Amino acid sequence: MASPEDWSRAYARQARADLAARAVLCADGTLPVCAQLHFLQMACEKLCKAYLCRSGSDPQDLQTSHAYIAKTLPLIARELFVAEYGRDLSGRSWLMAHIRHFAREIELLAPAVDANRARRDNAEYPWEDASGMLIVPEQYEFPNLNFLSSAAGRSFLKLVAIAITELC
Amino acid sequence: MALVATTVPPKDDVARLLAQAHFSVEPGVLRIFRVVSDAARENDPREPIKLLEVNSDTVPAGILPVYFGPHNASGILYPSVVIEVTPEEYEAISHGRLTLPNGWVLGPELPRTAA
Repeated sequence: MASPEDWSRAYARQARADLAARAVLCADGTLPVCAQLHFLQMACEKLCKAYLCRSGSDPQDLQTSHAYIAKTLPLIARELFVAEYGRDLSGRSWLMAHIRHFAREIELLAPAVDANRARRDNAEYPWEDASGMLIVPEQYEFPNLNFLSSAAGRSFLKLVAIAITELC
Repeated sequence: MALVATTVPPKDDVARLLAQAHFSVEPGVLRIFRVVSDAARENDPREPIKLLEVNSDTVPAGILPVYFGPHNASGILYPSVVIEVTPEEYEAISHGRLTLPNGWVLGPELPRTAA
């Protein structure tokens, strides 16, 4: 029977594969942004589940929900900061605020996570906006996720990659 | 040759250091509490420091303990578990409507200290 550590490593390895797939999609300028965001969402979700498996959560239970990123990913980032910068983290508070925002926006990319129908935008399925217009992810710009090209966004992506690698 | 005695700081001291690090980086962390097992387990250095953090910037998602290994270089010599909750979830825990796993109970508060 697989141990919690086995499950954790398995989730982390699949997260690493999702992140590698995202890199390929990002490099192809002909593909819509929703494709790479979908893989980023999946990578972040599996990273969080890798940590939760290690913490004693039932791996089967974790497969029933996508809503783990907003709560778990900031904690993972913060512990990486402790490891990297020691205990004086006051200079990192600006980045932590960004990371919480990023984590929530990425969690909302899963169609099943819609903030009580307030956020129907997602990376997979079409949805109707407030005016009743049908929106296809393939055509959508995802303005709330423009951060990924900012300095904070790049730091965020680097942290995700480091955290995944540490568990593989 | 001088003999240098090295001692491992008590878990209580490391818990306070970890809590202050978390306060320092996140203004949304309002309160931090120790979460404790029975005394025998808490005396075991392999038993993690467990913190319950009330954070106004987190989302309500229930009790999700997240385990982290020790960071010796940072003085965090014990493994740790962080349970982050919203203020409303904390109220539910303190009134018994939401329970902690593994027989854990809410321990003393670790107050924010002046920088």
